[in-house]
Amino acid sequence: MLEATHISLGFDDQYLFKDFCLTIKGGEVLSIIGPNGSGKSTLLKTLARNIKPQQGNILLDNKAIHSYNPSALARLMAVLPQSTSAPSDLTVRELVEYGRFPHQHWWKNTKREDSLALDWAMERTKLTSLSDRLVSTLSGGERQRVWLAMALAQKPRILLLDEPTTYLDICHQLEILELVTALNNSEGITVVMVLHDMNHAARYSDRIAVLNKGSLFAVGTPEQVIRTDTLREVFNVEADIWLDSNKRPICIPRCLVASADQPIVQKRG
Amino acid sequence: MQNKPELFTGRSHRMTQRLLMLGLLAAVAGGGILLSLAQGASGIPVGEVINTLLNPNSTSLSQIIWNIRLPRTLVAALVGMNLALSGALLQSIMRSPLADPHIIGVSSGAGLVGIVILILFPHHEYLLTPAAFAGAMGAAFAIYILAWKGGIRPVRIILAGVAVSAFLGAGIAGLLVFYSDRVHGALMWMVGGLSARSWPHLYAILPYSIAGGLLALFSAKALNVLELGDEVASGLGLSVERTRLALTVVAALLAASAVSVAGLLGFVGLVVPHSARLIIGSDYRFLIPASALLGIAVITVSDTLARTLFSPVELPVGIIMAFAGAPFFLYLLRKEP
Repeated sequence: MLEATHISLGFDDQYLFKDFCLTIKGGEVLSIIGPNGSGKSTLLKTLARNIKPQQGNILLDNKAIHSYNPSALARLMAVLPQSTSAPSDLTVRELVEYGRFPHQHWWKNTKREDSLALDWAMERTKLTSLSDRLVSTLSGGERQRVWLAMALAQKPRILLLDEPTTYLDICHQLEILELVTALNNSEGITVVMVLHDMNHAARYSDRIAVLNKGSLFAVGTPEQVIRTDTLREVFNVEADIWLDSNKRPICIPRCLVASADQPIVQKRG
Repeated sequence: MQNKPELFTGRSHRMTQRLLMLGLLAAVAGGGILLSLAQGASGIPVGEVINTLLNPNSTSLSQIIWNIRLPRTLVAALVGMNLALSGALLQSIMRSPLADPHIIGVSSGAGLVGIVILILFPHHEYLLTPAAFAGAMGAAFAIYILAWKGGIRPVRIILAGVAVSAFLGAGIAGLLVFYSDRVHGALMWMVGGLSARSWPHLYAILPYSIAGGLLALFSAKALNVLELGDEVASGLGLSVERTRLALTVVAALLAASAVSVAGLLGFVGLVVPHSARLIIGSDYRFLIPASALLGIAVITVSDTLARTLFSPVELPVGIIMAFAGAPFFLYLLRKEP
């Protein structure tokens, strides 16, 4: 179980988060949505220990993540940042193999375990046939699968994904989302992801957290959260919402909320 | 090297290729060392050189090799190795292809202190090596402190490095202008040379070469992970800040020990790691030894040329290196697929 407890965090005296709390249950898929500048990525980076909150703690199994040994934490939790880059002469297999880094020690022979985890990660992401290709020659969708495979090779219990579908076409977006939810189903991996597309969040998540200007506007099941008033107040748009064939809400934004005192440009930070 | 982009590459095939390349580089480095021992004011056949190395005797030939050429060649080799390793480390930890020992102030720090000694206190020239070492480390430390702001960002180090180097460079230029009658010795120091380097210099640099070389080899995996970016690296459990600090210290020590015995050799630290990368790829497990070997080869061959090309006049090795190395580097760059 991953928990943000009363965290406060800001830049130059201006708090982005103030006394923020969120509990992520073990085994769920939780999506974080919110407008630009609402603090989605910052929250994910804080959960991933890339940013240290000024106050409060992130707890993993009731223990502050900053007290974990970095490798031990990396064996429990894997992170896929929004933008990634790798040396151009790296093959798929070599990149995925870096996921084994937190498991390797110079005094320990981990070859067998490593190759098992590697094969599993490559197979789950359907990369086995691309094993010896250079990552730099792959398409965007394939490349995202490679980075996901690297995270999987860590054998984590929790997967943190920052906008994993950005820059991908619709087919590859769904491919990543289905892959992630399948892993959640079969392996029980907890998934926390930042998504831009509300309909994807509604379709693929157990729960959705809506951020607005650094505070938690709402958290709950897609039906509880994806509502016209949420869209109006947080995203400043009027929308129509239906249930799709899977009984998940689906929304189509119609127009901006017509009110003069609401600035269209959101203030950041 | 092949011109067509490699789409498919077998795993074991790549490994063998890289090991072969390392072997080749080792042979070239060994060849450079032998060449440097054999060539000089008097040419000595390579067979004779090897024979004398194995069985030292009291002939003048043995004296030349053991007292003059061997220490100088070994100093040259270690200087080249240290600068190349330092550059290879810095290019990874600063995440910048332009990072070299110069960027962390090592050259300008050693430069200024060296010039001060050579120009203002010429009768204390024996202090040159330790003082230059202190200057190099002092400048590197100052840059790290100045770039610190709740953590270290490579870009800030590079910018602070440029500013501090400009500042110290102004000091050097000022001294050269004020004491233009004593510039000659200082000039040799500025371009970097190995003339009259002997056993004491070797003992001064050797510990840093051994420790720095081993540390660089052991950090190869961490350097590989660092290449994936800070966020990914820390997600993989690497303490990015701590690794960066520790490796900056190693790089500074390697470079400081080199410039303190050989002066400001600028070229090796920047270009050798790049060339090694173009030859063997970006995997640091291979790139570290390849940089070290290529550094040895480049500097021993250059020093041999520096001694023999215009004999009896000896050129500073830095000039030869830049003249021969820059075109070679440009050639590699053009050839890159």
